[in-house]
Amino acid sequence: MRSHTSRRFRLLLAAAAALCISAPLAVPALAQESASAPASTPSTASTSTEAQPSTATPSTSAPALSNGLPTEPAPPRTLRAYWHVWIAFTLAWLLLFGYVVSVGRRFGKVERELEAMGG
Amino acid sequence: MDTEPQSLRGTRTAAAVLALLAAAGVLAALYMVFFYAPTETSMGIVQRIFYVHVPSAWVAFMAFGIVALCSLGYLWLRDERLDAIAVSAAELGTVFTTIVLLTGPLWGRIAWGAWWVWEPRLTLTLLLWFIYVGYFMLRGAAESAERGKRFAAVLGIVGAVDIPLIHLSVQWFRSQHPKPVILRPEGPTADPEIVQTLLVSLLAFTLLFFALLLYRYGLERLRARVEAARLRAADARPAAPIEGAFR
Repeated sequence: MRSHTSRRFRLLLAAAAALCISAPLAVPALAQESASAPASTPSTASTSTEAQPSTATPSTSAPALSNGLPTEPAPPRTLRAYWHVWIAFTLAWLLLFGYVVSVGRRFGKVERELEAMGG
Repeated sequence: MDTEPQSLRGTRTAAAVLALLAAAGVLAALYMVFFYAPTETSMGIVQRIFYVHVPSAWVAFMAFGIVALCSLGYLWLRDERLDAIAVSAAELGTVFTTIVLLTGPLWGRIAWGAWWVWEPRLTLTLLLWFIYVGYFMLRGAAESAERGKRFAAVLGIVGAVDIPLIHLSVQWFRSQHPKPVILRPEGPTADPEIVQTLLVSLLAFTLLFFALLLYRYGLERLRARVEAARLRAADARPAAPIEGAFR
């Protein structure tokens, strides 16, 4: 008898994986929106200095503003970056989903073995 | 009263409850990653990889910490349940380290212009992955299961030494890897929305890890039952007469 719990568990993970993979597709439009509005707030800018690799420009202050507009050039927003985000999330969730499927298959095999032994 | 199947049922129920909580957490985290957290100013959209990369690293480190503790317990008490938890956590730790090693280069290619840099944190993380792949090879290669468990337990303890090294490597060496943004003595420096999103992602991944750990632990216990049943069957079977004996 295949366990209901493991089947339900896999179903749940499948739904989650589908959602996780499709979610980044919504990003491009969204990112454009947020990049045009609150992204240049000083608090977010301070984050950038933290998350930057140490080889990048080591400015620790917020970008200079002229008439409310940043004077520094905007970071490159290439389509390639979107692809990388999508691939990263897809890979992560596919890997986890694959792992759950693999444990489920092993569960099924052991349960069949146990059944055959009369346990 | 057969307590073993009951405890297995309990493990599965706990795994299902945790899976539900994890699913809710993952949905909340995804919403925050793509609809709540602002786009980081210097790196742009690619910074969002951070929300899957950092929680995976956290969970992987926690998994290998559990491996080390349970391995220590197994070597001391020889309790099979501790070995079952250790092997389950090691498997999950390897999966999450693989996620770290896959998502990191995807970020690095955009932020650094290179898929991989042989700098301390990256190299030590790759070493950690190899140590735990070795953990499974060692378990499988030993001539008896008991010896395999013992050898793997020792490797699990030794391998955990790599975790603080990975964490501190960005402070000790000249490292290209970004410094921590949350675990700083002076407090988190990131934008509050970014910190909140990261914390929700960390919680979701932690719940997911424990759900998967219980699920995998259930498999290990079921395997132990099959092994015990097989041994009982072998003991009950009458010994085959040896040809030529007592003639």
